[in-house]
Amino acid sequence: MIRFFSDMSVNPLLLTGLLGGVLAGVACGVIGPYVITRRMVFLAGAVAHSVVGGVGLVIFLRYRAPDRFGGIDPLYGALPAALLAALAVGVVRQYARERLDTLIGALWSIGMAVGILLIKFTPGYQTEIMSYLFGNIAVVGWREVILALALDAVILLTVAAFHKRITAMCLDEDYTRLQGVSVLATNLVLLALVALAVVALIRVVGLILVIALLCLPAAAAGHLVRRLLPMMLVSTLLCILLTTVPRVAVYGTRISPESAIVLSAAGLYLLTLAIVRYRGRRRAVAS
Amino acid sequence: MTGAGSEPVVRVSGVTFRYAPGARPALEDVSLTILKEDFLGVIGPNGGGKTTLLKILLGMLVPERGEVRVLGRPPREVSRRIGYVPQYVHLDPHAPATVLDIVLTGRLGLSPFGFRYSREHVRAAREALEMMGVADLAGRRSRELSGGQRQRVLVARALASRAEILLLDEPMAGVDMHMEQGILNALRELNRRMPIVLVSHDVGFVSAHVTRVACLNHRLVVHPVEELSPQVIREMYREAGPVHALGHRHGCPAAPPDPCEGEP
Repeated sequence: MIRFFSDMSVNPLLLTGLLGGVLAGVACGVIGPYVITRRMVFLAGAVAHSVVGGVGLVIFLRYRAPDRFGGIDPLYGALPAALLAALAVGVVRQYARERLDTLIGALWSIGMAVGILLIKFTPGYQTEIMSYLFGNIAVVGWREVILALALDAVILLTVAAFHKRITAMCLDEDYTRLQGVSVLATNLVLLALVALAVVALIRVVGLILVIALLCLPAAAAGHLVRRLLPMMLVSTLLCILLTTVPRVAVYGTRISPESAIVLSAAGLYLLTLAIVRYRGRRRAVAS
Repeated sequence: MTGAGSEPVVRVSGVTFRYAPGARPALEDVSLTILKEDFLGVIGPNGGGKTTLLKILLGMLVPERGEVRVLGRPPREVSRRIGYVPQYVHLDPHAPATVLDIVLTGRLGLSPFGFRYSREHVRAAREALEMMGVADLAGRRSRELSGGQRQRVLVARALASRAEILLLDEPMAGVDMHMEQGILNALRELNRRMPIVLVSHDVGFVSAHVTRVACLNHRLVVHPVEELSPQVIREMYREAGPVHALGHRHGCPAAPPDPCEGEP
């Protein structure tokens, strides 16, 4: 752990990795409570996996036309792919009235299939896609930090403007509609927010593990407080701790920081669950 | 020229509605006028179109024929001035929200943007809870409420929106006699300020508390409450099958005489 800080002077990626972790923590801490309140954890998972399509496309284009696409970070393929997937689910759900879990399954696999197909036509790049699947906090540089900062800014401003609408929609859709507020538009805003949070998290934990950070810290916060706003504050705090502390703690060991982050989140969740159950039993005994 | 006081709050004329083209109409040539001082009970068998009528008044459904005016405008334009207490409302027991948060969503139409409700809105929400006698529940979560408390909270949410008319769909489902009486008293008090439309399949309960009764079984017939006799009710329910006019003989002094009590 001390080695982490002493190595920081020689390896600037340690500092940017830590900053990237904090910024990703803000994104998932704020959006996570919406995701679990609206029960869209797996929708977020599908959005995360559809990112493979966008990343695959950029990698493929870079290989086929290096003069035009050579300098593009695959992360810029992830952002439109996530937004497209999120908005597609919202619109199709509204107009086709399909079952949500069917759409989730379709989106999840279509995005992956497109990405894998494109990667197959791109020799030598298989390992790069792995860093999106499983995350690679060790390669988070200033470019990723700036992107995460921009994502956080957009997320926080949008939440500041739409929080009341999103909360009302989570509580009772029909009533929100009667209040003259468009549920379709509000839902699309929320889905877009989820897409942004997913992109912010990809480099830190990888898209396979994104749903862990979107649901576990928020659920842990939900064990500790009763209302949505305090829940967002607590979960943001927990997310920032989770994206930084385990990373520093396992530095220099063979444990991968991404797994350490997710397993710490799981431990935290179980701990708060145990606290709530224990308190609940004591209250039941007392009364 | 009529005076402002007699202007109807709701005017429904010749409304026909089908859920699917070619299906039997859920509502057929329904006309109804609701005045400011009305406490209208809408009764009828299950599937008779009661909830459909309320949804048309709210603009959630659009009739294929006929005209609907609420507060002088098409329903869609004024839906946020209508207080609505739905029959089936799914309040997620796990939602990280207190009763106050739920009632505050009644203020959403007045202040749809932003992060938090201002003090003025919070005060209005608390007043609405006060009016329904459940101010002390503000910090509870929905899963910690009884059926009756929940109904009161939902009425409070409807009131919080500065409602000018109140529509309630089966508000007494899952509420015990004692609570029922409390809710009714609160509604009567509210009726001094706004018209109330209460949908119920419980004929006896409704007719004992309202000023007018609309019998709805695809077609609608309005009676002043004194006219509601067992014959009228039997007439209405005939298509739906045999009537079991059950009396409310609870031996409870608060229970009103049941107008449809009598030999079936």
